[in-house]
Amino acid sequence: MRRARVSLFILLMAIAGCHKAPPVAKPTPPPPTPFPNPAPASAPAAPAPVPEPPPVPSEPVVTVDPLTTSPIDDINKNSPFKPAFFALDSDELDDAARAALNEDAQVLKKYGTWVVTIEGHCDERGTAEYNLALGERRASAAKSYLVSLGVSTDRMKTVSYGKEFPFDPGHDESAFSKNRRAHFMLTAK
Amino acid sequence: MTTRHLSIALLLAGIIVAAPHANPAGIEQQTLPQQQSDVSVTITGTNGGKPKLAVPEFLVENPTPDLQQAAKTISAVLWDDLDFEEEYYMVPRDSAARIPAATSPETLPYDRWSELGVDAVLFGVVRKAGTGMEVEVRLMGVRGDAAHKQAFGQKYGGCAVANARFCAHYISDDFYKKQRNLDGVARTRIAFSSDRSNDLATGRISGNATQEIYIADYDGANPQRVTASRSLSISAAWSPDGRSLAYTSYVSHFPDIFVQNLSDIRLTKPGGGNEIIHNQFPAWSPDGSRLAFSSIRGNASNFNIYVVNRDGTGLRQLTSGAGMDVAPVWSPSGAQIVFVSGRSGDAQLYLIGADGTGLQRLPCLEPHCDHPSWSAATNKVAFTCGVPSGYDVCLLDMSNMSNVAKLTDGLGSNEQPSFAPNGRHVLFVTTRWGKSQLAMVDIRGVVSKKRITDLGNNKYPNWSHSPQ
Repeated sequence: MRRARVSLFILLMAIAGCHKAPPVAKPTPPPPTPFPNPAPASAPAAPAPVPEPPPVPSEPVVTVDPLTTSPIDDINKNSPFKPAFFALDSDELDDAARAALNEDAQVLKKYGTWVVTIEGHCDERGTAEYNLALGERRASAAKSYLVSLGVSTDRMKTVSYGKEFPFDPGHDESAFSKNRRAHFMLTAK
Repeated sequence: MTTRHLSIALLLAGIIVAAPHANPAGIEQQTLPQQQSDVSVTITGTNGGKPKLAVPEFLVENPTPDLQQAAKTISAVLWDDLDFEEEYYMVPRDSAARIPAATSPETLPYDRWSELGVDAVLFGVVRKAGTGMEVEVRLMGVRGDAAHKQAFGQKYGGCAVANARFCAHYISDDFYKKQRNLDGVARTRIAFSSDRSNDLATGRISGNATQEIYIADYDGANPQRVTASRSLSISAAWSPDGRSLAYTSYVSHFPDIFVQNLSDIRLTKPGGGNEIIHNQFPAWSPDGSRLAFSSIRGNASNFNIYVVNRDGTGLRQLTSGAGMDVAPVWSPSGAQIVFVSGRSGDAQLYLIGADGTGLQRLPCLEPHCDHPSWSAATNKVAFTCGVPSGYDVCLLDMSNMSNVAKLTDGLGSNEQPSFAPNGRHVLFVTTRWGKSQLAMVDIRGVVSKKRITDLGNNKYPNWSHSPQ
């Protein structure tokens, strides 16, 4: 029940948030001319403009950031965090990975109370044991970089899932490259 | 996760297993007297080869449908169990079925069996006894010095009708012990991880199936699920007494070691894991008092090997330094531990004393060496070896460390070996049939095509010790 009410609240706030400008009063149409008199041959004179009523003072509209109110599960389904991807057998951060982590650092700075778990994942090649270790190294590499950007180490846990939870079930390089990642999961706000 | 949720998760993570223990029905046996005056009769094969043995369907006294079904099961399972250790050439069942059945050992059509080149026939009788069954087996020689003579005779009472498979396993182990002085494995069990339930792991995206721990008879029959973690539960290891399983589970969203009693729902966590202490790959010491495992703690950047008492006390760190150290197993004496480390590049095998001294690298002679299993019976270590395009199972002889052999044949990828307690077979994971399935290979490397699993993907196999 509480969950439904929260959802409704979010919905209303979302709707309210869509309308950034205060409502504008439209001019009221002129009263209709009585019928019996036919219109004169010349074009009828434009109706006298109706003076606009004084503007209604607008209600202050609060812009609500859904990320501050959404439940954690919902945020993770549509995550503001970008994964860092890795080359085969590697835990090194290339430029693209660092760029993604730079953005992740910004998110973590913006939401200063958020706590995340960084998951290390691997593609399916290599043994299960090797990949559990490699995943740990990838998660650690991402965490270390974020610490160097000033994110507090207490806000980031790491865990490795090795190759056990792939994001793409395919067996080609396109799938493999998607699975070699450090993946962010929000765990507390 | 709140404390309350974690408690429920732990409760659900362990399922009480109604598995038959080593001798649930209390099978009692007595030797049947031999009919002849000779003291001992030995069955031999032709020209020193393996004896050719027939196990026809057993005779049923006062047959009822359930008794007949039980008798069929016993003779069929016994045939498979006897075939498994490869000490006999087993006469195919359809050939044996063409020989007329006998009502007693004396009236066996020996001439017909002799025509087939059979060296001995295992004559069996099943009868109801009390609430259970009694099974008599007699091994009768067909030719040569043993012709028409009894080489082995036993009566087994207290077999449960509903557990005919176990009755056959019991008989097989007893037969092998007495006839060949061989410790059979027919009553042992296996543990493994499987995604066959097709459940989605909690909090994961679609396609991320949960892996749960299962146990089964050594031949893959009677699979039972042991965990309900809705996550990853992997690397199960049987305690030496067969009463507990240690395993790694991500039920709390980080890996920790659980020790689960199979007869009750009790779960303990001797590694004391939490969000910054991760534990995995538990291995029991030979006396069952300690666990070795791999752990990453606090701000450490590497997994290291630790040892802890089963009750969680006495934690000791064995390894340190660069490289991930994982997958430990104990030596047969309990004085040393073999583990996998990436400290010198790719995964290799290392040996260290259980007191943390004497670290040395083992010559596994392969680019990648992983997941060791140390056989007490043969003092050999089986391990995953090779390259990612297709691993194999290799054997390192710990008594002669220059001897490394390849057990599998390069078909598919073959990994995660676990030795049978008698060291004659290795259970492993193979992708040769598509998905990950469990199979067994004998120590000579003849893939016995003994496929053990069918459903889903099955990994992390572990073979129990012999029943005590």
